[in-house]
Amino acid sequence: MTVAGTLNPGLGESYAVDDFGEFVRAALPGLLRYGHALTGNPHDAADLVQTVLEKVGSRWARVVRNTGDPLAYTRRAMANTHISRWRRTRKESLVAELPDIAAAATPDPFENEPLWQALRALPPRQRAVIVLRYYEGLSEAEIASTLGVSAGTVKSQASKAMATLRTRLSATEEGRC
Amino acid sequence: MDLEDELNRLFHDERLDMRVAPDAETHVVAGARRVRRRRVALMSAAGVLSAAVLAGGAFVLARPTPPSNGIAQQPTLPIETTSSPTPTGAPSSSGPTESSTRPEVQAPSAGTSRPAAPTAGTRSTTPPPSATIPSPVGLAILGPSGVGRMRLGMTEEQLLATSQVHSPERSSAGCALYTSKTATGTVHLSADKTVVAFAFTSGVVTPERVTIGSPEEAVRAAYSGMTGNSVRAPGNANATYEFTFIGGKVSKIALVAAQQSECD
Repeated sequence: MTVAGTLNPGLGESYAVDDFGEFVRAALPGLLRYGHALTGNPHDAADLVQTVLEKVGSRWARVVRNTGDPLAYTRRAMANTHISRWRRTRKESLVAELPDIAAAATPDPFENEPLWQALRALPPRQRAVIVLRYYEGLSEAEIASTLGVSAGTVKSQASKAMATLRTRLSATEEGRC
Repeated sequence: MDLEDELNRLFHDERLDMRVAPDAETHVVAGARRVRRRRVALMSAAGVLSAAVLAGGAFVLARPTPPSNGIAQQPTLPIETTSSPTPTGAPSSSGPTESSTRPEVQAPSAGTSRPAAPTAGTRSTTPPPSATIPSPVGLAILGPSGVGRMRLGMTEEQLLATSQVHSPERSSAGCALYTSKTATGTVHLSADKTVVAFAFTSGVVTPERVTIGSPEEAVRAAYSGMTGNSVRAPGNANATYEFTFIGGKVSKIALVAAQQSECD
């Protein structure tokens, strides 16, 4: 355990987990994997994880104190940041410029997976709903509170997403035959 | 084909794992510091500004070459993609299980686990260090009994009278927590409302000249009697320094009182 873990319980849970570096080390593999699922490629995943962790770390004491569960908070922040970032860049990126980080793009490990490609083509909010449902295993209500939308929105986004995925996948299969 | 099964399969695929670069954590921690500094720099409150200067001082001390202004370069999280298609020997590294990743909104209940009370050495074998060692510029000295005008064992009233803390951060678990104005850190009170710990992540140095960023070897050299990552504070038999190391360097220094009453 960490040094903080050996401290007295009198200091409270925020003290026990308040070391941001320790948190990063423990959480990074899981967050990167989650980011990979959310964004659809390793580079955006790394970018998203770093952006969100830096923000979380810059107000670490507050996050620990107010949320009680910094990991859950970070994951929610990732889903929301991914959606809002996409919203923002969609307006701005009329000139499609690749971020520097994509220059050294490595082949995507799922390049030949039709389902992965279909997921990647979904609008980010729909994709986030699918990831939260099937990666995180959240219920509709939990997804709604995570993304700050109504349960009805989650339901409609999920059914739209599933319909799109089915259509794209069957199109791919027909295309192959 | 069942789409739901396919989605479950895809999201449990090992190829979703990404290898974390060895120094990723350092980049993130440095980045968080940068974000914080930038935000602090945007605020105009004098107290906040001086805290930023202190943090900056610690940063410079920790590195041989001072960073330019912290805003220009934005190191991206270095990653190596695991493109090994058949990870036969590779342990399926830390793919989070669903139960562990499910966000839990409730805070974990505090105070359920009770580690044994620390058995602090009662007799001082080394003489207290000569009181005045010049501190590196801009760093507050976290001495064996406290920092600035704040001391272990102070009552909450006395602590507030020092004007060196911001308003209480939290008291929900029965123990108040204050953020320090002196440097980046927190002051912890016990259930009976006395100061029982200080913890700093920048802006402080111990009388033995250990500061944030000091190499672990230097810390162990400065404190010969370290057990684990803690050591009795020289000159105060009733307090220990607790160090947190990241990447072989000090990331946090805490001064913790031996006697603490529990919260709630």
